[in-house]
Amino acid sequence: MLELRNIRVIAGLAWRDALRSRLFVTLILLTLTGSIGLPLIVEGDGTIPGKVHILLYYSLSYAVSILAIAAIWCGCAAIPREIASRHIHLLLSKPVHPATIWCGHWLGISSMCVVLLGLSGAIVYATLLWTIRPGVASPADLELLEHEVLTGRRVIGPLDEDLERRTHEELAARRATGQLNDAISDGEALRTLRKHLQRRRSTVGPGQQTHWSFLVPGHAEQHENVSLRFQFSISRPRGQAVIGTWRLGSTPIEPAREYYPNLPQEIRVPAGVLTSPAEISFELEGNPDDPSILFDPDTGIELLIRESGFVPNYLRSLLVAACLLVALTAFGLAAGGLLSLPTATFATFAVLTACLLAHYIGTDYWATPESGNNAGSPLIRVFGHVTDSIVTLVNRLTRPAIQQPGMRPMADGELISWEQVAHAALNYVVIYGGAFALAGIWLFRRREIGTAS
Amino acid sequence: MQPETMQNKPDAVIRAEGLTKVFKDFWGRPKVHALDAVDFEVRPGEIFGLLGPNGAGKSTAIKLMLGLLYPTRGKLDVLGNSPRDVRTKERIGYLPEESHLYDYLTARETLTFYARLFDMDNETARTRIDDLLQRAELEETGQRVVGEFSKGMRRRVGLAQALVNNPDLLILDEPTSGLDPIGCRQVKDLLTELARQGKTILLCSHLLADVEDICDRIAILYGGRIYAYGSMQGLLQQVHYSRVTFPELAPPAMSKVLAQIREACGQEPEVDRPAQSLEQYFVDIVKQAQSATDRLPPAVGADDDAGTS
Repeated sequence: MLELRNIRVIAGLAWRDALRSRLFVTLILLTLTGSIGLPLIVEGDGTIPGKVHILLYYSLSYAVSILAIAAIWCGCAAIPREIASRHIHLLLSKPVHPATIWCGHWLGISSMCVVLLGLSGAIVYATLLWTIRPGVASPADLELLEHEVLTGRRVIGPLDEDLERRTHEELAARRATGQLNDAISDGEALRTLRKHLQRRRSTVGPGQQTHWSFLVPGHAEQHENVSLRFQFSISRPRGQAVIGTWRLGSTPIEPAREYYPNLPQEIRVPAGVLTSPAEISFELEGNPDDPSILFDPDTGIELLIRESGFVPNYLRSLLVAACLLVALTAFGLAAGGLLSLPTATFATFAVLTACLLAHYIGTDYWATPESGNNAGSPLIRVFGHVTDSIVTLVNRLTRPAIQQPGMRPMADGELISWEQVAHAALNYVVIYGGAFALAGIWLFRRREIGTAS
Repeated sequence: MQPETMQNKPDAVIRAEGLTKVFKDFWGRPKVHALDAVDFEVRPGEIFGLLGPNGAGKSTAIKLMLGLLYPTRGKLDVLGNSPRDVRTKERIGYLPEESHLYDYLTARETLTFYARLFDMDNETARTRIDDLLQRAELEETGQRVVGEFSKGMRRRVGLAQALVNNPDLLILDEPTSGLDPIGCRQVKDLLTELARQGKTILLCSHLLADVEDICDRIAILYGGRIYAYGSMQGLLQQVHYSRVTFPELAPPAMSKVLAQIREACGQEPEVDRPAQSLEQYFVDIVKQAQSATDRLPPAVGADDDAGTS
């Protein structure tokens, strides 16, 4: 059914079509302008690391966004244009299966987007080297960059092994004492209580000490480039610092000093002293009447261990983005195989927006049991349950795609592992791409091309 | 002459039995009966003409034969298989009414693109394409993009792509559309030659003179139904009349002949002078002009861009 040779021939034609189209030229100009121009117009914090962060995060995110739109649009346009120009009549009169035509377009458009992504990546990297050239960046800047940004550090969150047990115990206790509305489902209640317990565990009161435990991979003592990254909030006027001490086991990592709320901060962990599990604690100084500080349960405290150089990490993040472009192309093609260009484009962007909205609703709005859906008339309750089910289903279907790392972790110096790349390839290319391809080919094959215009 | 009935020969290249195509609206309600229980067959090695006014169902029939549309009812076999079978298409060449070529490819690239879809190796494809470009008189312009071509030149490229796989069955929709009389004649000669080689040709055309010139059998469609079907000779022959052609006679001899005919058939015979077709006359004049021009020295600064749009 699928002939690789013919897929390549049709992909080659898609390339030729693209190379002479204004869209392609516009895309190159847009991506180049963004890659080079964005760091010039986005105001950073005035430091070289800040500028590098903008370059890596904003410029690449911009390029990926433009290419994502292009992938969807080109995907939506490919088959309707073939049909409108009647080229498809000649193609289908040759020994070419509709699946081959579909896959040829997929390969052609995807490869075009991936090449443009590579070009953008190369430009951003060249701009990065220019930005941190000797004479512009001081040795201290370079050292900081190498340690915090131009690196690939594994992010390890604190262990919380008995969280599930404690959550269930809390739920049982609240049910027993009638503190929980019976209309609230166990799932909703558990979700909320889990967050509540995590917050409670991440709270440090004045004069108190809170412990976190981190499971360090490999030989813990051999890790040299290790940092602790944290951010907390406090119910005090902005800008007021707190004084506290970070300890690794019983050894202070740094002497007591001021730390500022709502600001990501990093301290380096001395080499060779790490253990696994690493027991890290924070003791907050102050009067008992002072407010407590709250570390975000998910990202408030993290241990960062260098595992990769910047260039491989950078390439891996581009690979993840490339997988996304492949999936989006398949999505556009699947819509274009059934609908006309404007309808397919509208439908594709509408579905993507709806998925993102469902993700937002599912993670934020639905996170609180007070959100409703359980009160009111039976009709409203039914409507609420149906809406719940749809949002939950959409969330489940799209979660693997939305949870893939974007450009921010790479720009923050976080490790994009090969496992993440493989996971992105599996999800974006094999699962989503494959599902779109099967659906798209099935629809395209059933369609009577002779009637369409 | 009664129309021919369909003969169930096993070796029919195209066989339609009760072929019906109903186009439906968005809600699935029947909108147009494009073909209504049509029966016909196309035999190996013949040139078959599918005729009819606009909207008769000719294009629908062709699209069904190519698998671009699916029958609502009835059966359609092309080369013994379903028209949607990819293997069937290895033996088909198709020229649509408009050439539908990629404007950004050159003539050679166009043919190479389609040749590759037939899994031809490079050497075979190159030889075949050289031959087709020569036949289509496009050797000199093979490197120019098709978008720059005149309609006639595009038609030639279109015809060349239909022949790229040396097909057993050629389906041609208005093959002479956009061609000058010389080009028309060349195409008709080519089709006759291909039929002699055993290729089967199905063509649709509004140019009835073209159809009359080359078709062995025809079917005339109207409103989705076949109203006449059979051999050209059988359908057009006026069996109650005879025509005798002879060199010009002197008036007394002519009077004598006419008197004898009048006596034999009891009617006044019609006398006229046979005229050649305008196409033949045009071709002869152009050939004479060409041979006269060939004998002259080449003109300085002569426009060598003929044929471009």
